[in-house]
Amino acid sequence: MISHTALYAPKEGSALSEYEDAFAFAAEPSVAALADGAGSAFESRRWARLLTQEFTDNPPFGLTESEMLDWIGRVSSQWSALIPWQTLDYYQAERATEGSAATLVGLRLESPTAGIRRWQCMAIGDSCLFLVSAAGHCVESIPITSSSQFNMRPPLLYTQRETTEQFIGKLVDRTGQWQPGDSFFLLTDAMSEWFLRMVEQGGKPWDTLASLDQESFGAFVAGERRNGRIQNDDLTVVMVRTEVPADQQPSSPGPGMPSVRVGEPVLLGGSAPRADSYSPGSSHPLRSSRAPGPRSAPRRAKVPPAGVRQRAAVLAGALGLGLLCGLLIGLNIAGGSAPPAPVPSATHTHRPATAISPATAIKSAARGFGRALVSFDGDLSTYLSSLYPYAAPDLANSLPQTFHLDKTAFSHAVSQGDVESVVLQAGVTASDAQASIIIHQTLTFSGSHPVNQYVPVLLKLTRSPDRASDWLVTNMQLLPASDQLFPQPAHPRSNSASHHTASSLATVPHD
Amino acid sequence: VDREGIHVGGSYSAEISRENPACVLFLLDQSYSMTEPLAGDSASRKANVAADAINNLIRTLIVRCTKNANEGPRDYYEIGVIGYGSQRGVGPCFGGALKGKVLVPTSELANKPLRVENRTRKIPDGSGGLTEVAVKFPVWFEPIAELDTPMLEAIQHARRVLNQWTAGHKKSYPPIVINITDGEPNEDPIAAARALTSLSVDDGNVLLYNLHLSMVAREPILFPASTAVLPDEFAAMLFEMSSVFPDKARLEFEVEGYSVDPGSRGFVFNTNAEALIRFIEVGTRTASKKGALGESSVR
Repeated sequence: MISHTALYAPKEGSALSEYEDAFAFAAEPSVAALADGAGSAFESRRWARLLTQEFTDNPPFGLTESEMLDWIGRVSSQWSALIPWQTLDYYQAERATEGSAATLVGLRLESPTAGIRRWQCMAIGDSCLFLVSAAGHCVESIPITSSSQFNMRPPLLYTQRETTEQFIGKLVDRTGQWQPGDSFFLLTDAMSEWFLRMVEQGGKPWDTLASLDQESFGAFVAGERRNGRIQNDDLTVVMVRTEVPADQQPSSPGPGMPSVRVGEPVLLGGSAPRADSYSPGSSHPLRSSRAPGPRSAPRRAKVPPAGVRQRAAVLAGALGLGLLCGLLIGLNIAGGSAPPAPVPSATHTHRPATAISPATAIKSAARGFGRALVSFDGDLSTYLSSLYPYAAPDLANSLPQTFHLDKTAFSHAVSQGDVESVVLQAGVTASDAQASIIIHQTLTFSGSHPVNQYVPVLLKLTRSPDRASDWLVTNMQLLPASDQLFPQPAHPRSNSASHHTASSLATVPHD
Repeated sequence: VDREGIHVGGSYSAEISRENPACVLFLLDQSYSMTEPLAGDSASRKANVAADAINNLIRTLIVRCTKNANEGPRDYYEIGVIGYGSQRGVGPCFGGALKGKVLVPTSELANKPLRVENRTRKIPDGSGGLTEVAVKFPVWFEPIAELDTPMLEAIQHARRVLNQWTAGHKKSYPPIVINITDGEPNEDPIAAARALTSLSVDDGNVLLYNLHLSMVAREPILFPASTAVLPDEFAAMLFEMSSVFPDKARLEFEVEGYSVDPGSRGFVFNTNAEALIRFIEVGTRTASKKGALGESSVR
């Protein structure tokens, strides 16, 4: 049984929208990848995200150098396809032709074969992998082995093949055996430097990291930065922990950290590389965000009464623009007709699935929901009218409270964006599940620069009564992390008693 | 450190951010002699070469501030051009919507060029040669060459501007002033230059670099560390006015293959067009970890 956990923090003084690390997980077999987008490159966050996504989808182990370059080239094509070349300003176009760059470290754990459990690691740059044995020793440090080695300019993977060719020889490819109880830590550079220095001083940084969750990580990072022990940089920790099987050693419930999988790449007026993703060719993003299947044809909606439309339009004025739309999602996400797999009781470990794993179905539902949230840039009323029959009244009514919507500020905003990541949380049962997503929206107001929003949302999903392989989104709320994403409003609302202060959404500018 | 009255105190290591932007201020000679061709390039007026170099640098800085397709350039820089020697007197050069403004943030510059010209640029063709491509070349001001050389007044003007700026930006990288001139000033500007470079922020004093344009085809004298190599008193005066390179700036030039000594000053005598463009590009490059701005990790 293998658990995946991630902790992350943007550089101090930067918004989460400027966090340029990326990570991704997959299970069965366990694959984890982490990348650090170069700060000086164009769309490096996107490049980092695509690299980690592709790594988990198609781990490039066992490739020749030329095949590896081809693998990177395919990711580069995805990156390029997401750049809206035709609409770039001159300064963006010049920057874009210079391409992007990122580090990459990836890990795959193979299932035991004849008692042998093998791990494979690939790394380039100053993002590192550490293997900590069950006995509590750091036994691998890849590719950097000393905290004094972080000053140099690291080799990177570039979108331009000819540049990557100069550095591909620096790619480290290693393999070894793991034992139940071993833990793997994938860390970006500032975190790696901290980790190695702690090890060099005889400390056990893995215990520190393992004791943290996303919320306590923020406080931990702030303290270490204040004390000068961690460089001010984006920080990411990906932990892959193996456990002794439950029948051999009863395991206590984990700390409840979500497993995280990076969502689809942000749609940028470009292409949609994945079969299950939003198709830009469609005039109806919502519709196309559903996977094909018996219920994928949209129901033709009744046009709701004017009052409803008005209320909906008010909602639509803010981030909630797409929320109603999202209620539809979850229908038939998994596709196919296989019966649902038996779902284990509450656990955050990965288990083999006989057909479509519930994890996959839930991730798809959450991704689809998130995509729908941000798929508006056309005539909203059209969407609303087709949404209405699906809207769960409780959820719709809760949206204004949930988001503390400023009902006027966003009424003229044009929105586009995507889901940053889909987070599977503990608590998947036969009928209910939770997933977290970070919604990235770019709001464009007339006559000003776009404003990025990053909104972490916790979704509650229920297995569809109609179709057991589908999951419906039944509730949503802001995650506590949103407190740090949204600065307090200048004039706090009197009714903002909620812990989740998604106050003025417009106060997360690019700055 | 205080060498001959030119302050170079400070670490010059402040990270450039939107909260703490950097300031680059050009002082541009607009005297009549700027109509003359630049050494080694009989087709180009010095005024045009200087204007192109500055406009090119503004564009380069805007590009450096650009990180994503869905956002404009970030305001990492505030840039200004003060002209001296035109009929308009000493003052800001920007035209169009920015007319009258002295220091302008990068995002505003990006959106408000005076005009965008279509030009060609040579780029590597991928097989060892060069190929010409059409490029958009935004310009923010016109080349002007009219009267005399009130350099003293320009430096006093810069001091007034930066006195205010440094007061409000104590955590920023120290302002970089680049003076581009081709001739002898009306009055001795050394005392005013020292007053300018005595302004400081927490990270160090204002830096003043001087670039001398010549119509005589001679090898440029790059980054002298003493007056011994200089031909005349005028060159010695510009030397006296120029800041010693901070270590980090010196390293940037060393990385670019220049020979720079610890006492080298930000001063080039007999600058040709290429040296001019490279100087102001490298001279305004501020390394920061993993290239939050600079070109350190991506070429």
